[in-house]
Amino acid sequence: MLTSFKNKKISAVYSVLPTHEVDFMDEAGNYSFSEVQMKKLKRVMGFGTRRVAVEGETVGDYAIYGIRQMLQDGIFKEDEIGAIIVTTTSPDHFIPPISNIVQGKFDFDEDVVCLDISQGCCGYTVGLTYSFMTLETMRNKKVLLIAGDMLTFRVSKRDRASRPITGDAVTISVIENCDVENTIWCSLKNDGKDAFAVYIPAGGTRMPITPETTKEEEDEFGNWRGNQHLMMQGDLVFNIIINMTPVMMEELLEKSGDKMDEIDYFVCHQSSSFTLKKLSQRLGVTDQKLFNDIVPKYGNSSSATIPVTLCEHHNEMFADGKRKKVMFAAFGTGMSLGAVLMDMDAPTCQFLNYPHQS
Amino acid sequence: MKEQIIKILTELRPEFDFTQENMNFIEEGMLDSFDIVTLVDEIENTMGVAISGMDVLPENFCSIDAICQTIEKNRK
Repeated sequence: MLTSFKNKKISAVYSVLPTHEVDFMDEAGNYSFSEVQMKKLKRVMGFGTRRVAVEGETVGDYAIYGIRQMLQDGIFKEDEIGAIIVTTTSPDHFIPPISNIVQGKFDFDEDVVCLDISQGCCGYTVGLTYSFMTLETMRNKKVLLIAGDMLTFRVSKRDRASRPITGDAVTISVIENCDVENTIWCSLKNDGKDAFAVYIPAGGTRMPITPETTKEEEDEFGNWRGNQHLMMQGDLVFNIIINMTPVMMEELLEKSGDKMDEIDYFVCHQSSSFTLKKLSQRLGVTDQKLFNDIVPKYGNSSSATIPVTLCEHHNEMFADGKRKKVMFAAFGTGMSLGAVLMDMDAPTCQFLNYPHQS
Repeated sequence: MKEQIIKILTELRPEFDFTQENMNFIEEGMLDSFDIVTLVDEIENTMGVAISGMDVLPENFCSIDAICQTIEKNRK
């Protein structure tokens, strides 16, 4: 789908991160890497520190904490919200949806639209597009877009491909209509033939959780996983990303009539340092325009990485007080890809550390 | 160039002999995907050539000759 919207903005972004931090070098015993390999991978892949939730904490917990803080900060009022949209692959429960749990925790109207979308790394661009679509029918309301994941506990401790980069985070964005003239371009693409390139076999109706699904086995590369764990065909995923993402971004530019060098910032899903380096080389843009520093600092938190990047860099992005032309681009489970091109004024951005109970 | 590549590979995986002829590094289990991304990074840093992401495929790094061809292709 390639479409456009008019006169909408992202007015605020809050990122709620676990306070608990884990360092790749402290987990060396879990992986079959030599010391030389570890040092090189730390630099090349961005295996550094990552924020990790405490087992039992949920996306809903973090979202409620963040929304409570946003209300206290006067970012929005409860009666201004027309829809709560959640994008995650880590639901609190099968039933009920997180959006309904969140709606019930505050004094939101009963006619607020609640929608959970099962999307991983591409979730923010998908969620933004659905938020803009929803706002077309709600002129005087705002959308709360909750994008986040808690996948640490779905990745095996001995999975050297995914564990060293997996972080947890939940973000809340306020999306609304505005009077300032702008056109927003959105592109969503899917490649369902490769749907199982990123996969958790057990836990759904196809393969219910049993004692058998907890058993871990070693693969040919030295990764230990059970059927309850995330499994990723890294080579295939990398090739889909590197082949399809630039094409999608160029298509969007063609539609909008903008040129690559007219884009002020590319805020992309932070998958790994290597993937982002290859993407920026392919697009011919620098690290100053395409940020590549979130994975080594916070980890890859799936649908949360784009808003986390906004929170990390909004001061420098909007230092001169001028509007910026920003392209968001994401890729991940599904396989899904999404891009959003929009002119942005500085949103209110804030990091919050989640206060763990234990 | 071959000596330089062998030096990088040997530093990366000292337990293997990369000088043997007719060896497929991938099929023999001498290099995995993490070794390939590390190798790409080392080549870029030491040989001043950027390897396109579309060329980061196992078949392009399965032998010394394949690696040399990949470097030459990306120099053009």
